Amino acid sequence: MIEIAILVTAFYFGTQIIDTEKKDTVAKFSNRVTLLVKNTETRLDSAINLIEVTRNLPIVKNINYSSYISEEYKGIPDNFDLKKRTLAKQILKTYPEFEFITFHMPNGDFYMMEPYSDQLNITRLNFADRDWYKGVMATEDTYVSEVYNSTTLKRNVVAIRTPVFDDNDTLIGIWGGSLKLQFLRESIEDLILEKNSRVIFYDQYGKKILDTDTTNKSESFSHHFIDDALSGQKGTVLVNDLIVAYSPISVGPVNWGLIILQPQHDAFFSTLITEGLIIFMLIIFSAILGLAGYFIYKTTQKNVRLAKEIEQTSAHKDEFSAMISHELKTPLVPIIGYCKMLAKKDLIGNLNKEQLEAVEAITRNIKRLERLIVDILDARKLDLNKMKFVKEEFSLSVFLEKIESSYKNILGEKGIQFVINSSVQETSITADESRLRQVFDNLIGNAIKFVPKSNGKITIGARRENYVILFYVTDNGTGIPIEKQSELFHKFYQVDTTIKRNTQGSGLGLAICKGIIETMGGTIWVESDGKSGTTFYFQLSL
Amino acid sequence: MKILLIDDNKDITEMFSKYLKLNNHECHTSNDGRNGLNMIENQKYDVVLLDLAMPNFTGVDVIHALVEKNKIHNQKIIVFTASSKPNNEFDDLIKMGVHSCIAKPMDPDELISYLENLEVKNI
Repeated sequence: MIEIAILVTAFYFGTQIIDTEKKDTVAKFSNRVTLLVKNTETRLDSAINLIEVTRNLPIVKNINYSSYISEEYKGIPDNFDLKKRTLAKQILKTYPEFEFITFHMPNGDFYMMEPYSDQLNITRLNFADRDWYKGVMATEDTYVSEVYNSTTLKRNVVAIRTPVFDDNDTLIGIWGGSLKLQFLRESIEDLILEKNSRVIFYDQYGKKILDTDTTNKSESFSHHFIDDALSGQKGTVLVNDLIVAYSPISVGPVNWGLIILQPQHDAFFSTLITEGLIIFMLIIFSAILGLAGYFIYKTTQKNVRLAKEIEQTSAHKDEFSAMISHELKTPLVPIIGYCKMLAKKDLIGNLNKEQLEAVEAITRNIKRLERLIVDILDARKLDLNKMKFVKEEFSLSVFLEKIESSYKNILGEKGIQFVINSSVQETSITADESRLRQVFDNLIGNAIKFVPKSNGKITIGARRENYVILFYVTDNGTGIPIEKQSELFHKFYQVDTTIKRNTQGSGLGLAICKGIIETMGGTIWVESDGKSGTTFYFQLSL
Repeated sequence: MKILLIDDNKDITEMFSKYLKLNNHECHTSNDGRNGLNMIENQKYDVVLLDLAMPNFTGVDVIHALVEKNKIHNQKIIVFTASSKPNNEFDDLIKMGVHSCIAKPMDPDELISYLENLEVKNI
């Protein structure tokens, strides 16, 4: 009886977890669509505004040169009405998404186009048959056209045209510009698209204007979503094996449509993992049952949550790095500050010897925590290829001297001999100095942990071998067993995995060194006989 | 030196203001970007220490507002950043008139000697 009750409870909780996750995914998906719509609308609105604001300028209203319009120039020649051309050039410069800026006469004849070279290339003078012309004439207002293939440019553009009236409200021309569809791609690029997502834009007539899937396969979703979007409705639905979100995009007086779709398998990836885990959990239940089973259920549930979190964080890699950086480092500020205040004599009162030692221990550990956070972030940046390298030429001997001056005294106090062994006095190298320094700091830091308590010795050096510089850091510690050397550069690997190990570290230092050196085009390796001493070598091209 | 510290973390503003006052500097604080901006506009500070990541009105918003009002150079703006290595974002801030960027977590002693050094050299 109890067994059945537990099974039923487990199943209930299991389904609940799946449901919540599905809801989360659907909500996330529809947020993504809203974001893309807003982004596109903002880009379009600013283009429309630019055209509408400039149409009232006297420069635009002034059309003294209409008698110079000729078939030869497909409008006015380029040395007339220079002010209007200059304004058009400025618009193109401010808003590079515009392909060109034009002014037409009320009958649809070209007056001017900027760039002028494009004006010369157009095939005819009159454009009264165009959708945008009819739109402006019918509405007497700004009009955003269907997407059309520009005859001059052989490229898809969308026209924004606005009527220009003189002071007596008589139509004197049509001012506007045409946007490259590139601006839609830019809207998409601002989003991080999920795996196998497909984004499709439709114009007001339901014509497909941009599809991120270039394989041209036919739509596997119902066409009524497009109609719904164009008529102003939005929604997110699960159909067949797809999750489909649709929304209108308000483009001046008309609506465009946007559809984003993704296979459910990819969208609910984390949910599928959950489902697998829950089935696994149920099997365990029927096998063990009882109190032990309950604890396993709890642990599995925790793992499910963990799997979900990992899935989410990998989808938001950049946000994660920024968040971890800020959220983890900020609390360190007051901790370090107050420790300093407490430890300082006569600042806010004096501590006794034991209290002072306690505060110093806190400070030491905070410094370690800080180092660890920086290491984790660096390892992550390397993973994501996001680490920045600033390459500059610098003298190797000066570089090594700087290292010597930072370590010599500190190590001397600890009874460790620090030797620089360099034969590169006159050599310069082009690399990221601070990252190279980071590699040395990591390797020297490791060496310090492994040298014997008395008579410790660390040697660093550099020598030129043909077109590469070979750097090394040697210690006279216990060495690294040969069978463990290959795993040394893996993340979180520590040679001594026993709990009582003598050394401390994040286990990331060598992985970071390897990442930095390899990104700079070099190689890094270790040599040790496993008994006495270790040398880390790395080489970089000159 | 008259300093304004803007950071949404109250522990940070309290700690630094104590530290700065103990080192004989006048220190005002704000835990909110918008309020901080008002304080900058109403009083003359030598230095403004500004956290970038704040809710609602960020440090970057404060900087933009000051640039717009042509008041960015009325004081030295020093921003705090949790990023381990300055990148293009900071180059942009410097171009906009920010004096310098300091990495979090900053050591209060180092910060004070940095500020005092600024005062002496007047850079």
